[in-house]
Amino acid sequence: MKTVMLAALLCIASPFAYAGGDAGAGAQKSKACAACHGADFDTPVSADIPVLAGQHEDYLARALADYKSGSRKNPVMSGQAAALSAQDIADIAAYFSGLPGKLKVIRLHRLVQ
Amino acid sequence: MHYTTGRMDGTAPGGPQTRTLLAGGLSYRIHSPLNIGGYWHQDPGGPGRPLRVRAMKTILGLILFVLTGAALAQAPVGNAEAAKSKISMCIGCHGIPGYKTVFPHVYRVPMITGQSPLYIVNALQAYKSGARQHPSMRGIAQGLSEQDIADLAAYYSTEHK
Ligand code: HEC
Ligand code: HEC
Repeated sequence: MKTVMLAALLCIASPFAYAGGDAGAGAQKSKACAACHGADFDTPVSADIPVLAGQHEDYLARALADYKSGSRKNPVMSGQAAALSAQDIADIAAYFSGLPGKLKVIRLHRLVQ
Repeated sequence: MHYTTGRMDGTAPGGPQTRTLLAGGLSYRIHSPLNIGGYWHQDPGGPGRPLRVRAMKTILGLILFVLTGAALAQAPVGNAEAAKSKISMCIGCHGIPGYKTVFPHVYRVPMITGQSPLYIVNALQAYKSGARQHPSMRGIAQGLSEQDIADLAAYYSTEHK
């Protein structure tokens, strides 16, 4: 019983906790997004639009949840994210993060000599 | 509102009074969309109120001119080389593959190398203004000058082997 209550509490506390996305479903749900972010999600159509391909799955889910909740404010993306459910967000994040792309990390050990 | 129009060289109606007012010219030309291309306009409603209106417009125009000038002067050009002395502020998080932030939520720190300079500038400005609320990024962005932001954006958007 305690475990169930704890689990319920956790669900309430973090509605967008990583739910296990389905990349295949994400590909279907993100078709409209390609108009701005590019068909490969690696070549956005204008410079103010970010690359999404290969970005970390949990960061993408967080960003979409933040647009949806209004804690990250952007007139374009707030509208886009408003219609997404928590499952949509998980699916789309799973799809984007698995795509090949140009994003990378310049490793710390190469910067500090 | 009704206006009569004529050339800036004063060949059209208006007389001395209008010409004097237009001597405040530069700002007047800048602020009014109605006289783009060297045309002026004159409110025919008599010398009393229109005169004040024009004086106000001139002042507004001047303010706008100064602000525009300041804004233009402020957009710094990014220098990726200069950023090399500044990235020590960033690499503790953005330089470790898979590094996680824990507050207020746990998730991996985004990869930023490869985004466009404009997107990076916008993101840093959004943390500065509060449009984006991640506490550590807000703290960091608030300490960055416009030049720092431009330099860091140039650095992180450049190809690195
Ligand atoms: C009309 C153009 C447009 C469309 C359509 C669009 N986006 Fe965006 N997207 C943007 C812009 C512009 C930004 C940058 C906003 C900002 O600076 O916060 C952005 C940002 C994002 C980010 C944040 C990335 C980061 O690195 O923080 C994600 C995630 C995202 N979009 C996902 C989507 C998804 C999913 C869809 C489809 C449901 C979508 N976008 C549709 C224009 C668009
Ligand atoms: C304490 C760790 C930390 C440090 C230090 C740090 N960042 Fe960040 N950065 C983050 C996290 C976490 C995010 C994601 C925050 C969010 O969800 O909005 C982020 C987001 C960003 C973004 C937005 C990425 C996107 O896709 O929208 C940019 C740009 C950025 N950081 C640049 C920098 C720069 C430049 C520096 C150094 C001046 C820096 N960061 C230092 C943790 C850090």
